[in-house]
Amino acid sequence: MSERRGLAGHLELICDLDAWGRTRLRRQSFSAPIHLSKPHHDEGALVLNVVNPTAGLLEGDRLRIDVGVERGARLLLTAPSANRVHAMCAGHAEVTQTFHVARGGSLDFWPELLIPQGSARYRQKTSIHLEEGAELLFFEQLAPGRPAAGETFAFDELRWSMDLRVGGRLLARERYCLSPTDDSLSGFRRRFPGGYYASALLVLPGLKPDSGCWDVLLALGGETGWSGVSAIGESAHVWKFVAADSLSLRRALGTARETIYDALGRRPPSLRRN
Amino acid sequence: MHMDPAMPIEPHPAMGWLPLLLQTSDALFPTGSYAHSLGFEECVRFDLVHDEASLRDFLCEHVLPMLASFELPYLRFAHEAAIAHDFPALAELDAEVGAAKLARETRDASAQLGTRRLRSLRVILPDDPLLAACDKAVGDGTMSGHHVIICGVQAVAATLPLEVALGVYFYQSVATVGSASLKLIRIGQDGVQRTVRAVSQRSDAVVARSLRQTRDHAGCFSPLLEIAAMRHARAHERLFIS
Repeated sequence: MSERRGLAGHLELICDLDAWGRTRLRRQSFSAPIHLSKPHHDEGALVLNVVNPTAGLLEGDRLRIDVGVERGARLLLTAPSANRVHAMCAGHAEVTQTFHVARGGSLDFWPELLIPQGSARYRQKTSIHLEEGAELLFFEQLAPGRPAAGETFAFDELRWSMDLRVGGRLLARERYCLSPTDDSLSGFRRRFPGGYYASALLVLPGLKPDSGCWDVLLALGGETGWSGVSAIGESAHVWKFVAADSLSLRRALGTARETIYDALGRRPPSLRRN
Repeated sequence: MHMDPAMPIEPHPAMGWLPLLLQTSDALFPTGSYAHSLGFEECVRFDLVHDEASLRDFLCEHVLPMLASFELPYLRFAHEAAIAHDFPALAELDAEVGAAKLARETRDASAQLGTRRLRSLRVILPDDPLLAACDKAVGDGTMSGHHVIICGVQAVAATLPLEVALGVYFYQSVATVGSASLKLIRIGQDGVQRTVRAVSQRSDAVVARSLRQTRDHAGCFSPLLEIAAMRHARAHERLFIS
């Protein structure tokens, strides 16, 4: 069966500072299935909601996202709801995203939960380039499917690729291909049969060295989740969290974000317009 | 079969690498691997492993996918770069291995094991130019000397066939966990040997799978092992360095 011809959408953003020192969108361009809500400011950051007006990602969709945050600018890029990857007969959906953050710039990326539905095939390629002194909070969340509909780990394949470079140096790399029919998820599912997964890349040059925030992140989880945090470079950490259910995941993610911003001495910009 | 005692026994011509392989893969060869569990100790604390059956599951579901999808492919890439004497490529592979090991303790352990192995190899093969170049690269900070990269270089220095080098790395990875399990769970020597034997029977399949892995896709989803290694670094009490 040949692959359905999907949408070839794109999002291009460049943020910088205006004459008053507020973050502005100097350049924006997007096409379906990507739509941008009206941007607004909160807690010193420009908040942009990336909306998918279609039901989610469909077979054949190809999305390209290019985001630049220039010196001094602060951007929160988020989404109003979970991102669904729908069932596919053939082919796959693909998102290729590239982020550049300049020294003194800040990117908070919170794309909400990715829900791969039954028979979904999805590929995601992420390249993050930070100048020395740039700030990054890069969150990712993955659901096992739609447990309420009895659909857990029923997708066909998820292929993940992520590179984080700081000052041109490769600091973190992830590559994996998940399929419920091979051993890529066996160990995870044995311990967490309907497990949820989250990770965060946190490059925080403004964080005090004696910050206790990593201890707080490490203590998240308890009975329903596992939490781990580790340094991957100067001012750079990775946080990983797995949870037995979505509520535990959301609770941990919320606490983690609050804790990190608190350690930075700032309030987190709200994910939704108040 | 009766052997004529007067008949000299000729060594198999294709097995000239065997004595060096036995020496460098023996527990007597100082690499320091006995001091590392690579996250396994914390997995025991999480009760992921508690007996012979769960040890076998752990090896098959956590260690083998990592070997097939990441470690063995990178050994092969390093082997190819070493054959070509391509040191910039070796350094790049070494950096990729370090970047993929997100838990600091695992990353540090990998570099410690690699540099310790390299030092021991330099003792017994002091004139090998490949090992000397790696030693220099580690010394000047061009490479961290991750274990799997050094094992790939060692295979070339020791004229070891690639498939043998992959099989040895497979066995050593399984044996390291088996050895740690003796200290961490209620399992006897026989239980460990049964487990290692059962898991090792998958060696050919895992090696074959690793040979199909491309560099751009080499990696593994292993959040539980990563979290375990991350937590081990902050554990109040522990037997192993990692």
